[in-house]
Amino acid sequence: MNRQEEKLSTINTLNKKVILLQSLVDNVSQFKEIFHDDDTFMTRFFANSKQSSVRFCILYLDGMVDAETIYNSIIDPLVHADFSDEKQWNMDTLMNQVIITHKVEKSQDSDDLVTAIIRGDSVLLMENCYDALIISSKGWKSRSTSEPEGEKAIRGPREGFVESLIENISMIRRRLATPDFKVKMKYIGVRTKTRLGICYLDGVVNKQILTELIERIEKINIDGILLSGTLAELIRDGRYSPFETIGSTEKPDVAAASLLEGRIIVIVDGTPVTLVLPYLLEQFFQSDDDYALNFYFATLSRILRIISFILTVTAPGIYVALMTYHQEMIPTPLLMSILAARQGIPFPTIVETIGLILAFEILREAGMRMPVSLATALSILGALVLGTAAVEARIVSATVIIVVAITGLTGLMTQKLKGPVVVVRLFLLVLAGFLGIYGILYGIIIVLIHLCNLRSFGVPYMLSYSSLKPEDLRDTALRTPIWSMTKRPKFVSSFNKIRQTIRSWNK
Amino acid sequence: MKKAKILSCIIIIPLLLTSCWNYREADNLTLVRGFTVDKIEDGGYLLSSETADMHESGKEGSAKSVIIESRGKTLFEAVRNALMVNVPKLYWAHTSVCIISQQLAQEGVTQVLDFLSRDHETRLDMHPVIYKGNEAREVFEAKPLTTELVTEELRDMIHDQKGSSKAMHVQIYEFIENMSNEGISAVMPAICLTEVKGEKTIRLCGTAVFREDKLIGYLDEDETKYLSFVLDVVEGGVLVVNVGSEGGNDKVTLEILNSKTKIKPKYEEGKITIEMKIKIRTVLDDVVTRIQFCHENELKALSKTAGEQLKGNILELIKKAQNSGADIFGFGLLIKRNIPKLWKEIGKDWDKHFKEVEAEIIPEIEIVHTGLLKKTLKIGD
Repeated sequence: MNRQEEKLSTINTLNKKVILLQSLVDNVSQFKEIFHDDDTFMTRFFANSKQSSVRFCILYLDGMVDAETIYNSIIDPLVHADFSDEKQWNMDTLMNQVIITHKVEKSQDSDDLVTAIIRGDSVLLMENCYDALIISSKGWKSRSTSEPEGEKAIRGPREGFVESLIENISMIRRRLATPDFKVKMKYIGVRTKTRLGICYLDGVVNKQILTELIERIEKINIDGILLSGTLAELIRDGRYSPFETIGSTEKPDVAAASLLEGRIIVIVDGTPVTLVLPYLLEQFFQSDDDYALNFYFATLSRILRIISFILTVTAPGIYVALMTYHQEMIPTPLLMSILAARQGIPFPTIVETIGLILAFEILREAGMRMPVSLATALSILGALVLGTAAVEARIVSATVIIVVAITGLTGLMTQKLKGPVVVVRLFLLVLAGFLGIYGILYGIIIVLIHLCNLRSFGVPYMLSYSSLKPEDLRDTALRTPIWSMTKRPKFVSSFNKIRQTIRSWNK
Repeated sequence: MKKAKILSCIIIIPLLLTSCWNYREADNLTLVRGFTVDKIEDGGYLLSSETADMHESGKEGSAKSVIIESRGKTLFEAVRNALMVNVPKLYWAHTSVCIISQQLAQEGVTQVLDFLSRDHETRLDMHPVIYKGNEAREVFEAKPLTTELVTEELRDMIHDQKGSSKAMHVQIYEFIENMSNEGISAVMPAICLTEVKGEKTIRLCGTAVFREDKLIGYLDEDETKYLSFVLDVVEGGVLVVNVGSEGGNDKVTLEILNSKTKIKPKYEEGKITIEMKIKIRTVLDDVVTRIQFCHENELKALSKTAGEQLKGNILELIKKAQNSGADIFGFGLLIKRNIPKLWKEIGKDWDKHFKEVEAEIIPEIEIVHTGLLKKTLKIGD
């Protein structure tokens, strides 16, 4: 056995099979063997009220099923049904004439039956019968929808995805009332059997991207996937890049808008964050609110976000470069006041800057996963101890505090880019400490080359920024009026590019 | 593997190609804001640098002036000798004023300028200034009125004199360019000490005139203004016009809004004439006379008088320059650019021809309005 096969065998489970026999008790005991040591596995024997020889058993997992459904739609009709006539009763007739739930399926397959029980359906067995019925009876509590914390909107809808896949799909479908909206279900994870919904708009989606995505998903062989982020990392391009090539959203309206552009949404059961692909750099600077607000204002906010991104990445590096290599580039009065603030500081500028940026990142990380009640304590510690006291004690200079504050503040403008920002910022900072402005330019060139090299499912990551056609720039750093955006983004949607026709009364 | 090798070469080579790099903390710098150069007896130089000391300034950010004196056989030796009295090294990138003593300037300023333009730290937008007095380092006896550093105040004064046009705004690179060009003589502002409320303070006093690299004389403030008109660098200032009888006290002041001089050389029958059209827009600003200026005719007459007087003053200045032989107006350069054929003939002995140049001045003064008053203030009992 070679190593690859060994790996596969360790993640494969379910070596026991159920073979349905005539005896009800035997059949039930086979299931009991599979679910041994699981106390939530329930078996409920009952018989018809008039003919006690017609015996049944329902198998289900406690907590996964809706008790009402089991009582009203399965047990009650079976107990009160009239089995007295000489007609031959089998699973088909039961399914068609007695059971009254919306989804019933007949099966003999062991895997199907076991999986159905695990997923919250119930399995009905009958004395003297070689078939079993899988009856849909799922019923568990899920969180009600709430506004996503990370994607607040001023004028957009407040609805956010929940953990349930089916509910999420329904939220999108409510916005796209067309049979073109397709959902392909996939199961991944040998143990978790996590359900994925691959949503797309037929006729708009780029078929090549869709095939590529499905191919990549099918190649995954893993024991379990619990988060959409895990899946994204398994199927993304540029696997060593700090930049995400698969986006995410928690809002059904954003998902629907992405579908209309020809993108694909992947919903992972159990995660309220869905994946959007292909995802390009420009989308990090866009917000769904941009389309609800006036386009001048929206353009301004986008440009602000881009400037913030550039600032948050370069500000500490430029400060260090200017202060340690290029003092002649600082205007004299500014240099004098910086020097005045730096008197008596024991650390070199580069150490001071890296130290304070670390302190800021620690504060941010601490605050992010902290109960609200502790937030006040954190801000007192951060603002008073780190800020004021450190400057008063002449351990760090006030200028560095300002630079780090600018860095942190502008970093908050582009929350979704946090990962790459931290990496690139530190990279530029170290280069600046070694080589000054030259190092920063060198680093920026490396980052730019990397960004131009990146692709998200075959679509260039910097597509719109590198385009020379004015129509490609309509929804990038600019947000031109909606009536001017008549086409879908290039490459993302391969055909059916026209989104709207130009209004005739406009001329 | 080959790809990886090439890639690592591409990454490493630019890192090694950084031509000059030097990690240097900004607090290890002694900022020189200005300096004076004197000649000492044994042929060496005395360098007095005014540095901005931040040690005691604390949060206020205002610097204290510290003078560091050093001597050397050459200027750069003097710069390095400063290390014997002061640590850390002097930093020259923020130097804005260079004050040269009169005595040194009379012998030639080339050595000072050579160091300033050759060294990589010093900037060519520095202002060269001549100290009209004995030793240039006397400047630091002066007490600045608004800032802490004498040289900083001097720099601000040179920048802000646009409002009067009575001192030239010269930077080192301009001076060097004019000095090395043929057909123009270089100038730089001159300063001297004066007393305000018993304390010495510096004062801009006219312009120092050079022939080649040697100081030959000075222009006073008014002459500097007329020079500015010829060079077309006037951005403001006033024209004081004598009205009424000669030597009388009836004066009118015109504030210059803007001025444009068009200058053109002409060569006719062996005679070089420089034609100057000076167009000035002014405002009547200050009337010390009983004469009324409320009619257009009166204003026209006034502007004509002003033009005549300006013309007279400029001609007088040109005469003075011709006598000294310094072509501070750049007439030679003008001919070289406009009539290159002629320059080939006369360029070699331009000094002689310069003295024979005639100037034709056409002043055109427009009085835009008379301020907030229509008539002269009435005087009654």
